[in-house]
Amino acid sequence: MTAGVMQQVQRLIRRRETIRFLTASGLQDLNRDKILGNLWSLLDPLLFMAVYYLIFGVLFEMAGAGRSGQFMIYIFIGVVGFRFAEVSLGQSVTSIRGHRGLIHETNVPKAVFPVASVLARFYDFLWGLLVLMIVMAATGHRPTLYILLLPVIILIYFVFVLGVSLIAADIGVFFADASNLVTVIMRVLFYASPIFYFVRSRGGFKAMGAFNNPTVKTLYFLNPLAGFLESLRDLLMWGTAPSLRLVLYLTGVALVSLLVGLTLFSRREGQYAKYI
Amino acid sequence: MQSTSEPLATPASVVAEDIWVGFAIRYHLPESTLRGAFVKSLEGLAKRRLQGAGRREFFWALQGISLQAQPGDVVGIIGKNGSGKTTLLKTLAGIWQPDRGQVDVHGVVSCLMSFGVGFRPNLSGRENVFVNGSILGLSRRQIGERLESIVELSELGAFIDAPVRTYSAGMKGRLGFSIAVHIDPDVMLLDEVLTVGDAAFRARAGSILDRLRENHKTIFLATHSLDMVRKSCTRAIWLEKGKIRLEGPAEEVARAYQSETGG
Repeated sequence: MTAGVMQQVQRLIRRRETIRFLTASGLQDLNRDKILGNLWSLLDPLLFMAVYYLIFGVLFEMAGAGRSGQFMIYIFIGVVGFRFAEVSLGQSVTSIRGHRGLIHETNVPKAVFPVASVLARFYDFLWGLLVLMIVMAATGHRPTLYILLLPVIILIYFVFVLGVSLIAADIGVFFADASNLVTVIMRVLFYASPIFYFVRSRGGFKAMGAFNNPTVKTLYFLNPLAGFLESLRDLLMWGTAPSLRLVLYLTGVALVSLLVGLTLFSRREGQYAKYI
Repeated sequence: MQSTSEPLATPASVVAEDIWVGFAIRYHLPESTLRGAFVKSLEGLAKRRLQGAGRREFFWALQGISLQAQPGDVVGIIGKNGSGKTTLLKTLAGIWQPDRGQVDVHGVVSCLMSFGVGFRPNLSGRENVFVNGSILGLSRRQIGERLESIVELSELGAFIDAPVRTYSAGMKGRLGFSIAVHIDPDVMLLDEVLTVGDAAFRARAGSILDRLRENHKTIFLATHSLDMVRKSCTRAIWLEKGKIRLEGPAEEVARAYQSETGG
């Protein structure tokens, strides 16, 4: 197994220029004919945040609990973080079928297509975080030294999303229904992740009652997205570090996902072209 | 078939040993309405319960093909539709792995199965040259160096900076071909593609094939045109139902094929 994975990684590294071209053309292709062009990378999370703020902040009056503006930031991190995983997975699951033409003309390593999809969405994700930090700095938010851990969490999150996206891309070759399934799963995960509600009582926000039960809380954090979103908030909003145990768990899940994804590709990519 | 001339100086560039390639085929029942589809899917489920396997069959498209080609060979592949010509080329190209047997190809492979299907419609021709060239294995520098020549051969002129979705089929075809021949491959696989384009383009494409052969490249050419086999190929392989029916000098195979099919 490990030999196949190493070979897969080497082939991808050799094709890094192809991946770069695909990533860039994926971003351009998407935004080329739009009047606002690449601004959509920013507008997309901003608009989502506005919607959630209106629904949960204003209608459900959840924003009242915290300092003004804090709830906006809380939701923004949730939305930007979740969208990275959601859109990466949604695009990866169809990325092999979507490149049928190219795949039937060359023996390029098939993994370049989901990898390029994830990288393009990662670019959007980083832009979103950058805008957030600028807004936070402008509104007088002072980061602590823990912000230096941010690249570590982002890297682990990237590895996780990449691994799961490779798995989704592999399954998507053999089952055309996989993309419908991804949509449903992501909708469930949206509600099973701390995007617009509170899991921990922090800075004036009060955790929902169910989370007072430690068993519920432990089970809840088995969902890696919950851990990633809360870790991002720890570093960006609360100026603390996520617990070591959580970070180790997330690292483990991320590495296993990537290993499984790469193994699936190294074993089965020789058959993909027959199924699409 | 082994060439006896210079056995050591020209090692085989392509070797296939007893390759088998199979496809699982699922037959779709005709269904015109959603309700019909639903009813049929229920029937299908019930049947599958009863019969076990359902309407799935395994089909061997290639059945034990072995071949060798040396640098400088132009191998024509002929046979009826469905005889396995395209499947053979795709296997040699490494687009999929054979289910059994082994393929060894030395050097850079470039294949041209159909024209320009891999282009991104919203990007310009120039941008697509970089994306496709890179996928086909060229570095950014190599593409930059060859860009002018690619554009020239494609005869696109100023249209190279227009979005590919505005191109005609012929324009896409010329650009695809132009990129493919600029890969500078050691082994080139062509599937019935030289027949598109106008006479002037065909003549140019033919002269490029000649140049590849003179530079000791190996070319495989799947075609229905026996004229092309006689004119451009040194050898030919006649495929029938996934097996090699006859292999030998181009003229000989073309004659045998013609006398059997009457065309």
